[in-house]
Amino acid sequence: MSVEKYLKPEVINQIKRLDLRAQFVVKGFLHGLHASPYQGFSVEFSEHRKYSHGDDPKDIDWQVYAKTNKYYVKKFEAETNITGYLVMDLSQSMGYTYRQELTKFDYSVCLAAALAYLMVSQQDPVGLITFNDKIRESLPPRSKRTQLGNLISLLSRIRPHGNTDFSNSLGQLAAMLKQRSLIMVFSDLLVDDDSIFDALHRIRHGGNDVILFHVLDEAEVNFPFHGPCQLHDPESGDEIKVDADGFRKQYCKAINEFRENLASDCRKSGIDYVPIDTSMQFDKALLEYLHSRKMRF
Amino acid sequence: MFWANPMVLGIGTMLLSVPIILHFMMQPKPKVFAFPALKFVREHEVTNRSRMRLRHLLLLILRCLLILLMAAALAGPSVASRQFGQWLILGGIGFTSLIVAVALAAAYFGARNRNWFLITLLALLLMGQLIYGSYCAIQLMSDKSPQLLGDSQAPVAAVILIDTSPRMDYQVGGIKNLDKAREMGTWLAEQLPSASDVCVLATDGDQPFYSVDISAAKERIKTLETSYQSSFIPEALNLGIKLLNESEQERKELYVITDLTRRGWTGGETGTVLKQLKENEDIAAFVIDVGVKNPKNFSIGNLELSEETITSSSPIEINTAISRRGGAAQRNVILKIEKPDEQGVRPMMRDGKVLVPDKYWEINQQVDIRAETQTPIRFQYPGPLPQGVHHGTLEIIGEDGLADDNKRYFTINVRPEWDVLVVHPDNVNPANLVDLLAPFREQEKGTAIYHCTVAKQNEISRYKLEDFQAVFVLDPTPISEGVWQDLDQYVEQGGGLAIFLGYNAAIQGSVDPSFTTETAKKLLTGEIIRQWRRKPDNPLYLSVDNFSNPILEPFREREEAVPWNDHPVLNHWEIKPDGLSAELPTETIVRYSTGLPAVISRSIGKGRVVVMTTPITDPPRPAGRKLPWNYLFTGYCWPAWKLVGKISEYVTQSSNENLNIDIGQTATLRNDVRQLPDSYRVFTPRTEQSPTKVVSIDNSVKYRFTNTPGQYRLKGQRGKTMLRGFSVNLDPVETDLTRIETDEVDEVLGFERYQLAREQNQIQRQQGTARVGQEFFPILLIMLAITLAVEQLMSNRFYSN
Repeated sequence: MSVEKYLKPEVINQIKRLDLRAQFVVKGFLHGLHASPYQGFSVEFSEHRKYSHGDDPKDIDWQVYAKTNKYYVKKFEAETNITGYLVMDLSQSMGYTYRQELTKFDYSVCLAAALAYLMVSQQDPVGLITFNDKIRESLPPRSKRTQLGNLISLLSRIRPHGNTDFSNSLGQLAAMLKQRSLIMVFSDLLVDDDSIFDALHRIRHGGNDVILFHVLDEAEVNFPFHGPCQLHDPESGDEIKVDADGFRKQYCKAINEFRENLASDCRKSGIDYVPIDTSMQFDKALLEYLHSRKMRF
Repeated sequence: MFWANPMVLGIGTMLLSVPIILHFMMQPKPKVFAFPALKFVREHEVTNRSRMRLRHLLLLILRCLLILLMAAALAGPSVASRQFGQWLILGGIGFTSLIVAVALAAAYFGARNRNWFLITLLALLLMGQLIYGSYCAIQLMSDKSPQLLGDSQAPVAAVILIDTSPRMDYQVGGIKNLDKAREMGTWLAEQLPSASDVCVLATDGDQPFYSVDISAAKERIKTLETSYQSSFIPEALNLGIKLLNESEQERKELYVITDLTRRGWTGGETGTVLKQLKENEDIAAFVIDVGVKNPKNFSIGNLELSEETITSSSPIEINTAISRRGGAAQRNVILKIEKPDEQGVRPMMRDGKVLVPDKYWEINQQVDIRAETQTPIRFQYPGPLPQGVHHGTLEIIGEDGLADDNKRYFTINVRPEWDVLVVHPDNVNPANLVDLLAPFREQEKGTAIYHCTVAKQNEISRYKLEDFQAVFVLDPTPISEGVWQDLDQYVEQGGGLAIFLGYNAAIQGSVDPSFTTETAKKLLTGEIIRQWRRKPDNPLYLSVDNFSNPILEPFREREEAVPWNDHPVLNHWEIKPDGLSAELPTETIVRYSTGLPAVISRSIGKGRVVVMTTPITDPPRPAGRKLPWNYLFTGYCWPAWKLVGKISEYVTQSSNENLNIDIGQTATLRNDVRQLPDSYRVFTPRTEQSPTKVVSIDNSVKYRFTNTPGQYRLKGQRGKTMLRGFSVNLDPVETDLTRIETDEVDEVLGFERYQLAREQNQIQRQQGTARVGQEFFPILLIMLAITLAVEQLMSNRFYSN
């Protein structure tokens, strides 16, 4: 699969005017969009303020003192970089679509490619991690232009397979992180255990910024089947016979409850929860999200 | 339980397997889809599957029930007991209520989003059913009518009355109404429970009786034929009801299989039938119509012959009318008169079949017959015909629904003139009588029936009375005892005598003693006791009380309209009946307005005497008298002419030979054994029937088995073969196919007292109800509609997407 498939020029045109900022202050010395806690080493003057007790006397602007006979302290704002990780769920269920052009995995790759492009173009390093029952592939974060090609090339090679062990995989990821990073998780979260949030909380408590892209197929949201159906799970191989018409309302209610619960939990934990289904145009969905994020920070 | 169409029930039961097979064997395989989000499906799978099964089962039950109800309704079930039927209906209502209740529960509890319209509809339906069920239950509890056995196979007493009138021979497409009646009757007999008392009754006048068993009844039905001497249906019904009442069976059924023509229903004692059916409410009455609603038929009316007895040179004139029912048409009508057999041997029996002369004189006429009315038609055969008896027919040629009335038979007797002697005194002119008996014109043409020999009274002894068929004595002067005795002997031997008393019988105002001798009294039917005189301003008139005597036949139809008052009578003799009246049949035929006899007849020996107590020869102004005795022959005096003409026929006994009679009448032929055979062999119209012998008694031959229309031929021997005969016709009213209206049947059987049916299934349904039973067709249809509505609602609800 070519880069063009995942990162179309019209998508690039749409997103290049935006940025992806970390919601926290990034420690570092590199150039970037993200606020740095290290003042005095940056060339960027920020503001003056009155000296107060405890301030370092060396920060006093003596020229201002000479003019005003008052102590003012100079403040500098350093610009630095944030490391982003694109964390892709590689389980078998991600390769599913009922009647859409893109599977959930392809859809996630498109989203990831766009975000990777965005980060590389703002000189932030971005890496890739794929997982199913454990972490399968990883690409260390780089901010070079070639990183985008490497990243998409890797994504186009892999195929969804195996079962998901979400908590185990994200536990591994948490251990891997050396510094506070922006973790962008792409998954359908169709796992049987309830430990999704344990792993997410662990990463979040590590000071990382987490964006959870919950990608579902349109059929998984709307349940468009009719009459008697035999449904089977590609991951577990389980089969169930149901009367689709009589079951639709219950199903839709259950999936909505699931998404609402996730949204609520994420909100409490400071995790950005982005519910998406594959019938939405991914560029529009992404732009919408980035706009809303920009409004918040 | 009765099933009008059990085959439908069988087919329905077979069809019942269709939804079951579809449900169990041909369930559609579910479509297979991959679906990763199975954990959300699994949470509600059990509930969904149970609901799905329940819905399918409910729909299966509803659809099976639909087919079952449809088959049951078409099969026409009914039960013999009303109470049992009501219990069944109650059960049916309960069952459908249960279905509606289940559907209601499913609609209320089974769906999260309740369809309130459906729920309201089902609730209303359930409420309606419960109300109707309660009503039925109350009715059932309050029904105090005697409860009969619910078993429809309990024996019954049944009378199957089959109309066997000639009208039942009406046919369409080769199938007679009687054939249909026989078929229906056989079927009815088969429907009756075994051990039933069955009587097959026909309208042929036979007494009813119960057949040995149902097979015997069926055999009797097979052998039924139309009867030309059919009785009226009410008469037969009276006999049938009487027989039913004699039965000890609890259930009594009366079936009348008829073509519903008015003629059969409007005679007999209709009031008695009505009364009997009212008194015997346990008798279930059925009228089964096997007739045709708009029959098409040609018919010939009664034949009016100019004369039955003619001379050989007289022409024959026949008048009649042809009726048409069912549109105008053109037909050929043919008159045939048999030519005598040249060998003189026919009629004869050969190879078990009667052979009759087969050569005819024929006249053919094409007639445009008008619809729904009578088209008069006249045939005239100029003659001459040889002496003897001639049979003939008038027939409409061509096919017709009812053949019996397309042919009429007639018989005429061609004989020499009747020789009569007219005796008159010098002062009496016999011209009136001679002109009446043998008009001058007819004498010239040789067609006069009478040949009159006129003799003066004092010359009577010169004539040999035996050479005359009758002697007319006009206004006689005193008659010697010798003449009286000659006349008496002549009458005793079979001669006819007519005496018209008048002015000449009186001497100085009272009767001459020669009229009061014993012989005279015998011939004059009594003793002349006085002469009555009236003034012109207070005359007497002739008057008739009883028209039964053949002499009065021309006046029967007119009765009150006869203008007797135009012809006053001033004088007449009074005759006091003598003691011989008991011995010699004597009858006063015409009286005066005072009640005294005017015309009296008496049979003496083989002959007849008629005495008229006023003359027929007095002119309006008689010579030597101021006034005549009467004005009978003045002006337009047709009553007197007819009266005298008939007296002539009566005394010559020519009127005694009625050669053309109706079915059932007795044929009487005058038979003078001095000249004719004393016994004959009778060949009837039934050509397969051997001739029977009849013997002449009292100078007449009588034959009463005239039950078939046609020609009856008498063959006797007296030196040579002598042929005589007569014709019998069916009265045209017997073939009138006018149908009776229902309200007229009501008048016979009572309003709503009987059930009218045309088809077997109608009878069967009604039969069930009539046996204090109940039919389920309407209630099954209602249940079918309810089930269909519920099924539609449920399936629409279940498969709304």
